[in-house]
Amino acid sequence: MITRKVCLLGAFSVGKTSLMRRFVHEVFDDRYMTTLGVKIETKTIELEDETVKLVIWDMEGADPAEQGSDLVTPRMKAYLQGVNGVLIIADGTRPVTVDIAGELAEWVGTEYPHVPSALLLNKADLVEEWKVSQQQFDELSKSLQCFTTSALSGENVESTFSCLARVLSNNE
Amino acid sequence: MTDSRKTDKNPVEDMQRLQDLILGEEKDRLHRLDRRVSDIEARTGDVAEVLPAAMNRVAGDPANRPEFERPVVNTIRTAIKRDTHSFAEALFPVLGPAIRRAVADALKSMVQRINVALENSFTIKGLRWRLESARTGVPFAQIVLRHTMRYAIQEAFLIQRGSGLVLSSVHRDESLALDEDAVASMLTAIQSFIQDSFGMTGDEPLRSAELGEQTMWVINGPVAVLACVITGTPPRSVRDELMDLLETLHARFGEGFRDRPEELADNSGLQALMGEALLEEADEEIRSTARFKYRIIWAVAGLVLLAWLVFSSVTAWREHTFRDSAESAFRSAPGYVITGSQMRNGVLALEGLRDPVASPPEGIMHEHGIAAERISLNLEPYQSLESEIVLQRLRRQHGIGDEAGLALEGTHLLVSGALSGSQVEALEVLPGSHALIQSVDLGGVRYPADEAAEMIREALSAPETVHFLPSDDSLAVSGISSAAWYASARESRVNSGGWTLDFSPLESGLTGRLDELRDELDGSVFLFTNGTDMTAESESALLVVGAHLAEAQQLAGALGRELTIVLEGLGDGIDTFEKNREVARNRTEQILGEMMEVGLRPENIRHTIGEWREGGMDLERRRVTLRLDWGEGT
Repeated sequence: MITRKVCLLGAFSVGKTSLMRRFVHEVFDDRYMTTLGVKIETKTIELEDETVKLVIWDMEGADPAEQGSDLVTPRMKAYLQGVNGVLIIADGTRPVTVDIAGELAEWVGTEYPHVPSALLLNKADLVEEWKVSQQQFDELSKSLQCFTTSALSGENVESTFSCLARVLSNNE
Repeated sequence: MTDSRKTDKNPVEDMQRLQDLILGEEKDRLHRLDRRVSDIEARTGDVAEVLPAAMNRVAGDPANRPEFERPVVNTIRTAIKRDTHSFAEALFPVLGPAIRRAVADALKSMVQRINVALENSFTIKGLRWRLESARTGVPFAQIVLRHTMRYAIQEAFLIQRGSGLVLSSVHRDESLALDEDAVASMLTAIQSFIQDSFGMTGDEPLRSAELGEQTMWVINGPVAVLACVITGTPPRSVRDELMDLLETLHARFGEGFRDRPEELADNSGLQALMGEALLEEADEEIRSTARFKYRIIWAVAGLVLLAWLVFSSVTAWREHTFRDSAESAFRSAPGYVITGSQMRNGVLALEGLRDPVASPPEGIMHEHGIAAERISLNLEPYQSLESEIVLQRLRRQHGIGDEAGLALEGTHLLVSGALSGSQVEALEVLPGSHALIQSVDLGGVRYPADEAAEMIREALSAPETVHFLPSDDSLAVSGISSAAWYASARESRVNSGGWTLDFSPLESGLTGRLDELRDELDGSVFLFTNGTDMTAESESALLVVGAHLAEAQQLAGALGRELTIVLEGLGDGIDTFEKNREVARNRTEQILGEMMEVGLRPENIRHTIGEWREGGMDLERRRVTLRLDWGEGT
């Protein structure tokens, strides 16, 4: 069994904690509670030829308005030390979160160029209310692997984490 | 000036002179150094001077120590491979005590915990701890450990600095192991959070944290962090020990911690070193109290064991004795064959065979004082050929009572006492039909009196006037019989049915009769009228006397007496003596003739002539007088 550290990044209230809870505990709670600092959960995934234990760091939301121009705080940088994989989450109904996700993706690509990362466009259950333009999505897809997920329905959650686990197991 | 003179000489020499002027002293020093370097002995001495200090310096430098250790380790490894025996021999004195000490320490620790757990299992303190365990959900073992240890490191995590990934972990109790990755990550996150929140630098990391009744110590290293979950209050020196351990871990595996953590996952050396982090120290007071109580517990346990052993031995001995006596009782009883025995829950189960004729088992048990409730019998019926059982069976089969005696001498049956004719007949046919009896001796058998009397009466043709009456061990023959029958019966040897015939009553009757006849016949007188003419009365009397004399003769013969009849003839005074003498002889011969006619034997009759007396006619003297002489038997 191998152990890999995965960090969830994104603006506040995009559903990072809900995605983690859906993946780890297979539950969804529509009550919103802001994450302070970091929450950590683990889950073991059985792949075809390998068992991967994911240590998932659910970080507090990045807030450029509060933090000024420093989107990734020193504390978040500390949390990201030794990270093996990054999932950047955005809310399809809030275009600003997609912008933040783009910035975060750029930062991760710079600081951790060899660490696999992906963008999760969450709240797919509210796709009718999405305000992300196709152009914006296509633009992100050029530099980053993108998935649409729903913590509420569980859509693509398990498969996305499994996909990441597979990539991480091959990325020894 | 000087320069113009120089130009006149050989340029090489000039150069040489110039070098001597400028580098002369250094050149000499170089030559000296060159010679010293070339001199191996001198160089060895120089290296020996600095080598110890250099080694100590490198060994104390964590950065350069791996570079120093690698060739040393490789050299030692190669040497071991090449000459394993020598190294084994050299290490033997060290390894033995070390292993023994490790084993002893481990055993001591385990025994100590068991002692404490045992000691406190049934005490108020133990119950309180159990309540605490139930209330908090913490296993009882951990509660005991928590209360009995001054301190103990329960878990230790070696965490990759920064990522928070666990490099290795050890647990005192595997059942209590947490999600080590989650714990390590959260600890790392907390470290980062605190440092960020309080504006601390990396040189001032989190050192400890209180977690309820447990303490977490964090020992920080350059690449990895050692986090230890501790119960109790450890002394400061423990932190130093943990720091030493972390340094050792970094020295041996630091590079792997940083670059290849996966490769260390199953590293036994790393696990062994991590095991050293589980330090502990028991509370001395508790330990000494435990020792004292432990001794008491052992003493009590020893006494209980001793009592149990004594009880078991006594019980076993009693069961053995009971078993022996019960088996012996049934084995010695005729008609019993014991084939097996087994004690089950204090009850002796006996298996075997029993002849239905044999004594009932209850009687045997009662006779030997064996409690019937402690015996379980499983006996199959069979026919015993033991003499006692054979005789008992004969008695039952033929209704032979205690008045009859039966005995077996080998295959010879001896029968005595009172038996009926049918019983005798049944016993007579046993030879040839019985498995054991080949001959029967019925000589000692005595029939019932009436049966015997009938049998004897028939055998002796006894008249009805004769009676056979039992008297003690004999049959008394009484009544009236002829002398001839009496004589014949006494002489006969008929089967008397085991009875002795007592003829004395009959003999007494016959003797009385004989006496009657004697009284009647003795002195009988036969009168004559003239010559040998008897008077009519005497002739009639002679017939009766003759018959009675014949009877008396028979009786006397039967009774063993000698009867002699004496006839004395007489005549009167008329005529001469000779004439009368002749007449008297004729008269006795006439009587003798008559008596022989009735069967009297002549040898028993004697006749004489009575004294003659001169005188006249006297009819009274014309007679023959009969006298009986009984001889000595009278």
